[in-house]
Amino acid sequence: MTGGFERVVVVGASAAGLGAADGLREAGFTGSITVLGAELHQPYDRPTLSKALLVAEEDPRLLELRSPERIEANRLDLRLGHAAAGLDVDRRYVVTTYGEALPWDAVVIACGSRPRELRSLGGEVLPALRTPEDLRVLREAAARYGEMTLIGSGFIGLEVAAALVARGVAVTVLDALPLPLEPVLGTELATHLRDLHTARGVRFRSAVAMASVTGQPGAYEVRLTDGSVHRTPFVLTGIGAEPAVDWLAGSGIEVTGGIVTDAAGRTNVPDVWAAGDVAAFHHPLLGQRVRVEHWTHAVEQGRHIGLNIARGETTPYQGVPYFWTDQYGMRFQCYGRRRAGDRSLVVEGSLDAGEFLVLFGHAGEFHAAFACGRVRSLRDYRKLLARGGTWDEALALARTNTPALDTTVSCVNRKECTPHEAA
Amino acid sequence: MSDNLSVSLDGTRCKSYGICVSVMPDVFDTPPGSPTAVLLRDAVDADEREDLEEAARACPAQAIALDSGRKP
Repeated sequence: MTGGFERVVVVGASAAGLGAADGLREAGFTGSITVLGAELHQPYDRPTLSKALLVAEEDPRLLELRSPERIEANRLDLRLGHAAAGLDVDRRYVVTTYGEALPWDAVVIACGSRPRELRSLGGEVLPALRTPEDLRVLREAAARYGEMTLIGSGFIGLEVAAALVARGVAVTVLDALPLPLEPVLGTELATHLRDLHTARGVRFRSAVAMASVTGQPGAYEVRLTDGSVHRTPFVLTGIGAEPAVDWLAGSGIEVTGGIVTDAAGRTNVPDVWAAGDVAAFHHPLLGQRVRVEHWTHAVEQGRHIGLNIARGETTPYQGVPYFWTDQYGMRFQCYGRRRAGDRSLVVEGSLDAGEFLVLFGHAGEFHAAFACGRVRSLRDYRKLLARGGTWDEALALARTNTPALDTTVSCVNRKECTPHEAA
Repeated sequence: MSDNLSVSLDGTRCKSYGICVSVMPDVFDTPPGSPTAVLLRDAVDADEREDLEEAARACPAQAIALDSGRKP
Protein backbone atom coordinates (compact mmCIF):
# COMPACT_ATOMS: atom_id res chain seq x y z
CA MET A 1 0.00 0.00 0.00
CA THR A 2 1.23 3.47 -0.79
CA GLY A 3 2.18 5.75 2.08
CA GLY A 4 -0.39 8.21 3.36
CA PHE A 5 -3.31 5.97 2.48
CA GLU A 6 -4.87 5.72 5.87
CA ARG A 7 -8.51 6.70 5.96
CA VAL A 8 -11.41 4.95 4.30
CA VAL A 9 -14.99 6.14 4.66
CA VAL A 10 -17.71 3.60 3.86
CA VAL A 11 -21.11 5.13 3.18
CA GLY A 12 -23.67 2.53 4.25
CA ALA A 13 -23.69 0.03 7.15
CA SER A 14 -25.08 -2.41 4.64
CA ALA A 15 -24.25 -5.86 3.32
CA ALA A 16 -22.08 -4.16 0.68
CA GLY A 17 -20.56 -1.61 3.06
CA LEU A 18 -19.63 -4.14 5.72
CA GLY A 19 -18.41 -6.47 2.98
CA ALA A 20 -16.06 -3.72 1.81
CA ALA A 21 -14.78 -3.23 5.35
CA ASP A 22 -14.18 -6.98 5.64
CA GLY A 23 -12.30 -6.98 2.34
CA LEU A 24 -10.09 -4.08 3.43
CA ARG A 25 -9.10 -5.85 6.65
CA GLU A 26 -8.75 -9.22 4.92
CA ALA A 27 -6.19 -7.68 2.57
CA GLY A 28 -4.27 -6.17 5.47
CA PHE A 29 -5.45 -2.56 5.48
CA THR A 30 -4.52 -1.15 8.89
CA GLY A 31 -5.83 2.40 8.62
CA SER A 32 -9.14 3.76 9.87
CA ILE A 33 -12.49 2.60 8.51
CA THR A 34 -15.46 4.83 9.27
CA VAL A 35 -18.83 3.32 8.41
CA LEU A 36 -21.85 5.59 8.15
CA GLY A 37 -25.24 3.99 8.83
CA ALA A 38 -28.27 6.12 7.99
CA GLU A 39 -30.50 4.07 10.29
CA LEU A 40 -30.13 3.87 14.07
CA HIS A 41 -30.30 0.09 14.14
CA GLN A 42 -27.22 -2.03 14.48
CA PRO A 43 -26.56 -3.39 10.98
CA TYR A 44 -29.26 -5.97 10.35
CA ASP A 45 -30.26 -8.50 7.74
CA ARG A 46 -32.74 -6.68 5.51
CA PRO A 47 -34.09 -9.61 3.43
CA THR A 48 -35.67 -11.10 6.56
CA LEU A 49 -38.08 -8.16 6.75
CA SER A 50 -40.18 -9.39 3.85
CA LYS A 51 -39.54 -13.04 4.68
CA ALA A 52 -39.43 -14.66 8.14
CA LEU A 53 -40.12 -11.52 10.19
CA LEU A 54 -43.34 -10.70 8.40
CA VAL A 55 -44.66 -14.22 8.95
CA ALA A 56 -43.49 -14.43 12.58
CA GLU A 57 -46.22 -14.72 15.17
CA GLU A 58 -44.17 -13.09 17.90
CA ASP A 59 -42.63 -9.62 17.81
CA PRO A 60 -39.97 -9.67 15.11
CA ARG A 61 -36.36 -9.57 16.22
CA LEU A 62 -33.85 -8.21 13.76
CA LEU A 63 -31.08 -10.54 12.72
CA GLU A 64 -27.75 -8.78 13.15
CA LEU A 65 -25.56 -8.58 10.08
CA ARG A 66 -22.33 -8.64 12.07
CA SER A 67 -21.73 -9.54 15.68
CA PRO A 68 -20.47 -6.71 17.91
CA GLU A 69 -17.31 -8.81 18.43
CA ARG A 70 -16.64 -8.87 14.72
CA ILE A 71 -17.23 -5.14 14.34
CA GLU A 72 -14.82 -4.62 17.22
CA ALA A 73 -12.25 -7.04 15.80
CA ASN A 74 -12.38 -5.23 12.45
CA ARG A 75 -11.88 -1.92 14.25
CA LEU A 76 -14.82 -0.26 12.53
CA ASP A 77 -15.83 3.22 13.56
CA LEU A 78 -19.53 2.60 13.10
CA ARG A 79 -21.62 5.78 13.18
CA LEU A 80 -25.27 4.87 13.35
CA GLY A 81 -27.81 7.51 12.48
CA HIS A 82 -25.16 9.42 10.54
CA ALA A 83 -26.06 9.51 6.86
CA ALA A 84 -23.89 11.00 4.16
CA ALA A 85 -25.15 14.43 3.10
CA GLY A 86 -22.49 15.34 0.57
CA LEU A 87 -19.22 14.37 -1.03
CA ASP A 88 -16.47 16.91 -1.66
CA VAL A 89 -14.17 15.31 -4.20
CA ASP A 90 -11.69 18.22 -4.33
CA ARG A 91 -10.96 18.60 -0.64
CA ARG A 92 -11.80 14.93 -0.11
CA TYR A 93 -14.43 15.06 2.62
CA VAL A 94 -17.64 13.18 3.22
CA VAL A 95 -20.09 15.52 4.94
CA THR A 96 -22.62 13.85 7.22
CA THR A 97 -26.12 14.78 8.36
CA TYR A 98 -24.51 15.63 11.71
CA GLY A 99 -22.38 18.24 9.98
CA GLU A 100 -19.17 16.24 10.33
CA ALA A 101 -16.60 16.55 7.54
CA LEU A 102 -14.80 13.22 7.38
CA PRO A 103 -11.52 13.28 5.47
CA TRP A 104 -10.79 10.29 3.24
CA ASP A 105 -8.12 8.70 1.16
CA ALA A 106 -10.73 6.40 -0.35
CA VAL A 107 -14.52 6.23 -0.22
CA VAL A 108 -16.79 3.24 -0.77
CA ILE A 109 -20.34 4.29 -1.56
CA ALA A 110 -22.63 1.46 -0.48
CA CYS A 111 -25.77 3.32 0.55
CA GLY A 112 -28.06 1.07 -1.48
CA SER A 113 -31.45 2.01 -2.77
CA ARG A 114 -34.82 3.12 -1.54
CA PRO A 115 -38.31 2.12 -2.57
CA ARG A 116 -39.63 3.99 -5.58
CA GLU A 117 -42.20 6.37 -4.13
CA LEU A 118 -45.84 6.45 -4.97
CA ARG A 119 -48.00 9.22 -3.55
CA SER A 120 -51.70 9.53 -3.06
CA LEU A 121 -53.44 12.50 -4.67
CA GLY A 122 -53.43 14.02 -1.20
CA GLY A 123 -49.62 13.95 -1.22
CA GLU A 124 -49.11 11.08 1.23
CA VAL A 125 -46.18 8.82 0.40
CA LEU A 126 -47.84 5.42 0.32
CA PRO A 127 -46.39 2.73 2.60
CA ALA A 128 -43.56 0.54 1.32
CA LEU A 129 -41.37 -2.06 3.02
CA ARG A 130 -37.72 -1.19 3.49
CA THR A 131 -37.00 -0.72 7.20
CA PRO A 132 -37.99 -2.30 10.53
CA GLU A 133 -40.28 0.71 11.09
CA ASP A 134 -42.05 -0.06 7.81
CA LEU A 135 -42.37 -3.67 8.93
CA ARG A 136 -44.07 -2.61 12.16
CA VAL A 137 -46.58 -0.46 10.28
CA LEU A 138 -47.30 -3.32 7.90
CA ARG A 139 -47.78 -5.89 10.66
CA GLU A 140 -50.09 -3.57 12.56
CA ALA A 141 -52.13 -2.83 9.45
CA ALA A 142 -52.43 -6.55 8.67
CA ALA A 143 -53.73 -7.22 12.17
CA ARG A 144 -56.06 -4.22 12.17
CA TYR A 145 -57.65 -4.48 8.72
CA GLY A 146 -57.32 -8.16 7.81
CA GLU A 147 -57.26 -7.08 4.21
CA MET A 148 -54.85 -5.19 2.00
CA THR A 149 -53.74 -4.38 -1.51
CA LEU A 150 -50.24 -4.65 -2.86
CA ILE A 151 -49.26 -2.37 -5.71
CA GLY A 152 -46.58 -4.14 -7.73
CA SER A 153 -45.83 -7.84 -8.06
CA GLY A 154 -42.06 -7.96 -7.75
CA PHE A 155 -40.13 -10.06 -5.27
CA ILE A 156 -41.14 -8.00 -2.26
CA GLY A 157 -44.79 -7.78 -3.28
CA LEU A 158 -45.00 -11.54 -3.74
CA GLU A 159 -43.15 -12.37 -0.54
CA VAL A 160 -45.40 -9.99 1.36
CA ALA A 161 -48.48 -11.53 -0.28
CA ALA A 162 -47.38 -15.04 0.72
CA ALA A 163 -46.58 -13.97 4.29
CA LEU A 164 -49.87 -12.09 4.73
CA VAL A 165 -51.94 -14.96 3.38
CA ALA A 166 -50.23 -17.17 5.96
CA ARG A 167 -51.46 -14.70 8.59
CA GLY A 168 -55.02 -14.94 7.27
CA VAL A 169 -55.03 -11.56 5.52
CA ALA A 170 -57.04 -11.16 2.30
CA VAL A 171 -54.61 -9.92 -0.35
CA THR A 172 -55.15 -8.28 -3.72
CA VAL A 173 -52.17 -7.65 -6.01
CA LEU A 174 -52.34 -4.92 -8.65
CA ASP A 175 -49.82 -4.74 -11.44
CA ALA A 176 -49.53 -3.34 -14.93
CA LEU A 177 -47.60 -6.47 -15.90
CA PRO A 178 -49.64 -9.41 -17.14
CA LEU A 179 -47.75 -11.83 -14.90
CA PRO A 180 -45.72 -11.33 -11.72
CA LEU A 181 -41.94 -11.18 -12.24
CA GLU A 182 -42.33 -12.12 -15.88
CA PRO A 183 -39.19 -10.27 -17.05
CA VAL A 184 -37.13 -12.17 -14.47
CA LEU A 185 -38.69 -15.61 -14.75
CA GLY A 186 -40.16 -15.85 -18.24
CA THR A 187 -43.79 -16.58 -19.02
CA GLU A 188 -43.94 -20.21 -17.95
CA LEU A 189 -42.35 -19.87 -14.53
CA ALA A 190 -44.19 -16.60 -13.88
CA THR A 191 -47.46 -18.39 -14.64
CA HIS A 192 -46.49 -21.14 -12.23
CA LEU A 193 -45.73 -18.62 -9.52
CA ARG A 194 -48.96 -16.71 -10.11
CA ASP A 195 -50.90 -19.97 -9.86
CA LEU A 196 -49.23 -20.79 -6.55
CA HIS A 197 -50.57 -17.52 -5.20
CA THR A 198 -54.06 -17.74 -6.64
CA ALA A 199 -54.42 -21.31 -5.32
CA ARG A 200 -53.91 -19.86 -1.84
CA GLY A 201 -56.44 -17.10 -2.28
CA VAL A 202 -54.43 -14.12 -3.56
CA ARG A 203 -56.42 -12.05 -6.05
CA PHE A 204 -54.51 -10.62 -8.99
CA ARG A 205 -55.64 -7.65 -11.02
CA SER A 206 -52.93 -7.83 -13.63
CA ALA A 207 -52.22 -6.04 -16.88
CA VAL A 208 -54.01 -2.92 -15.76
CA ALA A 209 -52.13 0.19 -14.75
CA MET A 210 -52.94 2.35 -11.79
CA ALA A 211 -54.12 5.89 -12.43
CA SER A 212 -54.30 7.35 -8.93
CA VAL A 213 -54.76 6.62 -5.25
CA THR A 214 -56.89 8.67 -2.87
CA GLY A 215 -57.79 8.29 0.79
CA GLN A 216 -55.84 7.35 3.88
CA PRO A 217 -55.18 4.28 6.01
CA GLY A 218 -58.52 2.63 6.65
CA ALA A 219 -60.09 3.72 3.35
CA TYR A 220 -58.19 4.01 0.09
CA GLU A 221 -59.56 4.17 -3.43
CA VAL A 222 -57.30 3.03 -6.21
CA ARG A 223 -58.37 4.18 -9.66
CA LEU A 224 -57.25 1.97 -12.52
CA THR A 225 -56.75 3.01 -16.12
CA ASP A 226 -59.64 0.80 -17.23
CA GLY A 227 -61.93 3.15 -15.30
CA SER A 228 -62.60 0.80 -12.40
CA VAL A 229 -62.12 1.74 -8.76
CA HIS A 230 -60.62 -0.64 -6.22
CA ARG A 231 -61.40 0.02 -2.54
CA THR A 232 -59.08 -1.23 0.16
CA PRO A 233 -58.25 -0.33 3.77
CA PHE A 234 -54.48 -0.44 3.21
CA VAL A 235 -52.02 -0.33 0.34
CA LEU A 236 -48.40 -1.37 0.25
CA THR A 237 -46.28 -0.34 -2.71
CA GLY A 238 -43.55 -2.52 -4.12
CA ILE A 239 -42.78 -1.00 -7.48
CA GLY A 240 -39.03 -1.29 -7.48
CA ALA A 241 -36.15 0.56 -5.93
CA GLU A 242 -34.07 3.54 -6.91
CA PRO A 243 -30.41 4.08 -6.05
CA ALA A 244 -30.02 6.47 -3.11
CA VAL A 245 -27.93 9.06 -4.91
CA ASP A 246 -29.63 12.41 -4.11
CA TRP A 247 -26.85 13.34 -1.73
CA LEU A 248 -24.32 13.14 -4.60
CA ALA A 249 -25.99 15.86 -6.67
CA GLY A 250 -23.35 18.32 -7.82
CA SER A 251 -20.50 16.20 -6.44
CA GLY A 252 -19.05 15.35 -9.82
CA ILE A 253 -19.74 11.63 -9.42
CA GLU A 254 -21.28 10.28 -12.60
CA VAL A 255 -24.78 8.94 -12.01
CA THR A 256 -26.78 7.29 -14.80
CA GLY A 257 -29.31 4.80 -13.49
CA GLY A 258 -27.01 4.28 -10.49
CA ILE A 259 -23.45 5.31 -9.75
CA VAL A 260 -21.50 4.47 -12.87
CA THR A 261 -18.43 2.35 -12.18
CA ASP A 262 -16.06 0.18 -14.14
CA ALA A 263 -15.90 -3.57 -13.57
CA ALA A 264 -13.43 -3.02 -10.74
CA GLY A 265 -15.88 -0.77 -8.90
CA ARG A 266 -14.22 2.61 -9.60
CA THR A 267 -16.34 5.70 -10.24
CA ASN A 268 -15.19 8.52 -12.51
CA VAL A 269 -13.54 10.21 -9.50
CA PRO A 270 -10.20 8.79 -8.32
CA ASP A 271 -10.39 6.79 -5.06
CA VAL A 272 -14.19 6.87 -4.99
CA TRP A 273 -15.71 3.41 -5.41
CA ALA A 274 -19.27 2.13 -5.34
CA ALA A 275 -20.60 -1.29 -4.30
CA GLY A 276 -23.92 -3.09 -4.08
CA ASP A 277 -27.22 -2.01 -5.55
CA VAL A 278 -26.32 1.67 -5.76
CA ALA A 279 -23.70 0.87 -8.42
CA ALA A 280 -24.27 0.42 -12.13
CA PHE A 281 -21.24 -1.45 -13.38
CA HIS A 282 -20.14 -3.35 -16.41
CA HIS A 283 -20.51 -7.05 -15.60
CA PRO A 284 -18.17 -9.17 -17.74
CA LEU A 285 -20.41 -12.26 -17.51
CA LEU A 286 -23.60 -10.43 -18.38
CA GLY A 287 -21.96 -8.38 -21.11
CA GLN A 288 -23.68 -5.16 -20.11
CA ARG A 289 -23.93 -2.43 -17.53
CA VAL A 290 -26.18 -3.60 -14.69
CA ARG A 291 -27.35 -2.75 -11.23
CA VAL A 292 -27.63 -6.01 -9.26
CA GLU A 293 -30.13 -5.72 -6.40
CA HIS A 294 -29.37 -9.00 -4.68
CA TRP A 295 -28.03 -9.69 -1.23
CA THR A 296 -25.07 -12.00 -1.86
CA HIS A 297 -23.98 -9.77 -4.71
CA ALA A 298 -23.73 -6.87 -2.28
CA VAL A 299 -21.59 -8.94 0.09
CA GLU A 300 -19.28 -10.29 -2.59
CA GLN A 301 -18.88 -7.14 -4.65
CA GLY A 302 -18.36 -5.09 -1.49
CA ARG A 303 -15.60 -7.42 -0.33
CA HIS A 304 -14.06 -7.45 -3.80
CA ILE A 305 -13.84 -3.67 -3.81
CA GLY A 306 -12.36 -3.67 -0.31
CA LEU A 307 -9.69 -6.08 -1.53
CA ASN A 308 -9.02 -3.95 -4.61
CA ILE A 309 -8.59 -0.78 -2.55
CA ALA A 310 -6.28 -2.39 0.01
CA ARG A 311 -4.16 -4.10 -2.62
CA GLY A 312 -4.03 -1.17 -5.02
CA GLU A 313 -5.57 -3.37 -7.71
CA THR A 314 -8.33 -2.96 -10.27
CA THR A 315 -9.44 -6.58 -10.69
CA PRO A 316 -12.86 -6.80 -12.35
CA TYR A 317 -15.73 -8.25 -10.33
CA GLN A 318 -17.49 -11.08 -12.10
CA GLY A 319 -19.42 -13.02 -9.49
CA VAL A 320 -22.48 -14.90 -10.70
CA PRO A 321 -25.64 -13.06 -9.61
CA TYR A 322 -27.77 -15.06 -7.17
CA PHE A 323 -31.12 -14.53 -5.53
CA TRP A 324 -33.52 -16.48 -3.42
CA THR A 325 -37.13 -15.86 -2.56
CA ASP A 326 -39.36 -17.54 0.03
CA GLN A 327 -43.02 -18.07 -0.69
CA TYR A 328 -45.44 -20.43 1.06
CA GLY A 329 -42.64 -22.42 2.65
CA MET A 330 -41.01 -22.93 -0.73
CA ARG A 331 -37.62 -21.51 -1.50
CA PHE A 332 -36.75 -20.52 -5.04
CA GLN A 333 -33.10 -19.97 -5.86
CA CYS A 334 -31.49 -18.68 -9.03
CA TYR A 335 -27.93 -18.33 -10.26
CA GLY A 336 -27.27 -16.17 -13.30
CA ARG A 337 -29.75 -13.92 -15.01
CA ARG A 338 -32.42 -14.83 -17.53
CA ARG A 339 -32.50 -12.61 -20.61
CA ALA A 340 -35.46 -11.67 -22.80
CA GLY A 341 -36.04 -14.33 -25.44
CA ASP A 342 -34.33 -17.12 -23.51
CA ARG A 343 -35.65 -20.63 -23.87
CA SER A 344 -36.35 -22.53 -20.66
CA LEU A 345 -35.80 -26.23 -20.07
CA VAL A 346 -36.81 -28.31 -17.07
CA VAL A 347 -33.87 -30.62 -16.44
CA GLU A 348 -34.90 -32.06 -13.07
CA GLY A 349 -38.25 -32.67 -11.41
CA SER A 350 -41.37 -30.93 -12.67
CA LEU A 351 -43.39 -27.84 -11.91
CA ASP A 352 -46.40 -29.95 -11.03
CA ALA A 353 -44.34 -31.84 -8.46
CA GLY A 354 -43.33 -28.52 -6.90
CA GLU A 355 -39.67 -29.44 -7.13
CA PHE A 356 -37.69 -28.60 -10.22
CA LEU A 357 -34.58 -27.19 -11.82
CA VAL A 358 -34.95 -25.02 -14.92
CA LEU A 359 -32.17 -23.79 -17.21
CA PHE A 360 -32.35 -20.60 -19.25
CA GLY A 361 -30.30 -19.85 -22.35
CA HIS A 362 -30.31 -18.68 -25.92
CA ALA A 363 -28.31 -19.25 -29.09
CA GLY A 364 -25.89 -21.65 -27.49
CA GLU A 365 -25.35 -19.45 -24.42
CA PHE A 366 -26.21 -20.60 -20.92
CA HIS A 367 -27.65 -17.78 -18.81
CA ALA A 368 -29.26 -19.02 -15.61
CA ALA A 369 -30.31 -21.95 -13.44
CA PHE A 370 -33.49 -21.63 -11.35
CA ALA A 371 -34.49 -24.21 -8.77
CA CYS A 372 -37.22 -25.00 -6.28
CA GLY A 373 -35.86 -27.74 -4.06
CA ARG A 374 -33.08 -29.52 -5.96
CA VAL A 375 -30.70 -27.04 -4.37
CA ARG A 376 -27.90 -29.58 -4.22
CA SER A 377 -27.72 -29.64 -8.00
CA LEU A 378 -27.16 -25.90 -8.28
CA ARG A 379 -23.49 -25.99 -7.39
CA ASP A 380 -22.28 -27.35 -10.71
CA TYR A 381 -24.41 -24.95 -12.76
CA ARG A 382 -23.10 -22.11 -10.67
CA LYS A 383 -19.52 -23.16 -11.47
CA LEU A 384 -20.42 -23.45 -15.12
CA LEU A 385 -21.95 -19.97 -15.17
CA ALA A 386 -18.89 -18.56 -13.43
CA ARG A 387 -16.62 -19.74 -16.21
CA GLY A 388 -18.97 -18.71 -19.01
CA GLY A 389 -19.98 -22.27 -19.92
CA THR A 390 -22.16 -22.97 -22.96
CA TRP A 391 -25.71 -24.32 -23.29
CA ASP A 392 -24.33 -27.64 -24.53
CA GLU A 393 -22.15 -27.92 -21.44
CA ALA A 394 -25.18 -27.20 -19.29
CA LEU A 395 -27.12 -29.94 -21.09
CA ALA A 396 -24.23 -32.36 -20.66
CA LEU A 397 -24.29 -31.60 -16.95
CA ALA A 398 -28.06 -32.07 -16.85
CA ARG A 399 -27.69 -35.50 -18.43
CA THR A 400 -25.37 -36.65 -15.68
CA ASN A 401 -28.32 -36.25 -13.28
CA THR A 402 -31.10 -37.09 -15.73
CA PRO A 403 -29.67 -39.49 -18.35
CA ALA A 404 -32.98 -39.78 -20.21
CA LEU A 405 -33.38 -36.00 -20.49
CA ASP A 406 -35.44 -35.06 -23.52
CA THR A 407 -34.16 -31.71 -24.75
CA THR A 408 -36.29 -31.54 -27.87
CA VAL A 409 -39.61 -30.95 -26.14
CA SER A 410 -38.42 -28.47 -23.76
CA CYS A 411 -40.45 -25.67 -22.31
CA VAL A 412 -41.68 -25.56 -18.78
CA ASN A 413 -45.28 -26.16 -19.81
CA ARG A 414 -44.51 -28.91 -22.25
CA LYS A 415 -47.90 -28.98 -23.85
CA GLU A 416 -47.40 -25.48 -25.23
CA CYS A 417 -44.06 -26.18 -26.79
CA THR A 418 -42.97 -26.73 -30.29
CA PRO A 419 -40.00 -29.07 -30.40
CA HIS A 420 -36.78 -27.31 -31.22
CA GLU A 421 -33.14 -27.61 -30.39
CA ALA A 422 -31.13 -24.76 -29.01
CA ALA A 423 -29.38 -22.94 -31.82
CA MET B 1 -4.66 -34.34 7.02
CA SER B 2 -2.84 -31.28 8.29
CA ASP B 3 -4.16 -29.24 5.36
CA ASN B 4 -7.75 -29.72 6.42
CA LEU B 5 -9.91 -26.83 7.49
CA SER B 6 -12.51 -27.37 10.11
CA VAL B 7 -15.93 -25.85 9.70
CA SER B 8 -18.54 -25.19 12.34
CA LEU B 9 -22.17 -24.21 12.18
CA ASP B 10 -23.80 -22.17 14.94
CA GLY B 11 -27.21 -23.77 15.37
CA THR B 12 -28.44 -20.87 17.49
CA ARG B 13 -27.88 -18.43 14.62
CA CYS B 14 -28.70 -20.62 11.62
CA LYS B 15 -32.08 -19.87 10.02
CA SER B 16 -31.80 -22.60 7.42
CA TYR B 17 -31.46 -20.20 4.49
CA GLY B 18 -29.71 -22.96 2.58
CA ILE B 19 -27.49 -20.71 0.46
CA CYS B 20 -24.57 -22.72 1.85
CA VAL B 21 -26.11 -25.87 0.36
CA SER B 22 -26.10 -24.37 -3.12
CA VAL B 23 -22.44 -23.45 -2.70
CA MET B 24 -21.18 -26.63 -0.99
CA PRO B 25 -23.80 -29.39 -1.12
CA ASP B 26 -21.32 -32.00 0.06
CA VAL B 27 -20.67 -30.09 3.29
CA PHE B 28 -24.04 -28.55 4.16
CA ASP B 29 -27.58 -29.86 4.00
CA THR B 30 -31.02 -28.61 4.97
CA PRO B 31 -32.97 -31.76 5.81
CA PRO B 32 -36.76 -31.46 5.48
CA GLY B 33 -38.27 -30.46 8.78
CA SER B 34 -35.00 -29.41 10.35
CA PRO B 35 -35.03 -25.86 11.73
CA THR B 36 -31.34 -25.47 10.93
CA ALA B 37 -28.88 -26.64 8.34
CA VAL B 38 -26.61 -29.53 9.26
CA LEU B 39 -23.00 -30.33 8.53
CA LEU B 40 -22.39 -33.47 6.51
CA ARG B 41 -18.73 -33.31 7.49
CA ASP B 42 -16.77 -30.90 9.62
CA ALA B 43 -13.47 -30.95 7.75
CA VAL B 44 -12.83 -29.78 4.21
CA ASP B 45 -9.74 -29.94 2.05
CA ALA B 46 -7.58 -26.88 1.69
CA ASP B 47 -8.42 -26.66 -2.01
CA GLU B 48 -12.06 -26.14 -1.06
CA ARG B 49 -11.23 -23.15 1.07
CA GLU B 50 -12.45 -20.61 -1.42
CA ASP B 51 -15.89 -22.19 -1.68
CA LEU B 52 -16.14 -22.60 2.06
CA GLU B 53 -15.23 -18.97 2.67
CA GLU B 54 -17.80 -17.89 0.12
CA ALA B 55 -20.46 -20.02 1.82
CA ALA B 56 -19.58 -18.39 5.14
CA ARG B 57 -19.81 -14.89 3.65
CA ALA B 58 -23.07 -15.69 1.88
CA CYS B 59 -24.79 -16.76 5.11
CA PRO B 60 -27.28 -14.00 6.04
CA ALA B 61 -27.30 -15.35 9.60
CA GLN B 62 -23.49 -15.41 9.83
CA ALA B 63 -23.69 -18.91 11.28
CA ILE B 64 -20.72 -20.51 9.53
CA ALA B 65 -17.20 -20.32 10.89
CA LEU B 66 -14.04 -21.90 9.62
CA ASP B 67 -10.88 -22.58 11.44
CA SER B 68 -7.64 -23.25 9.65
CA GLY B 69 -5.92 -24.56 12.78
CA ARG B 70 -5.02 -28.22 12.89
CA LYS B 71 -7.68 -30.42 14.26
CA PRO B 72 -6.70 -32.07 17.52
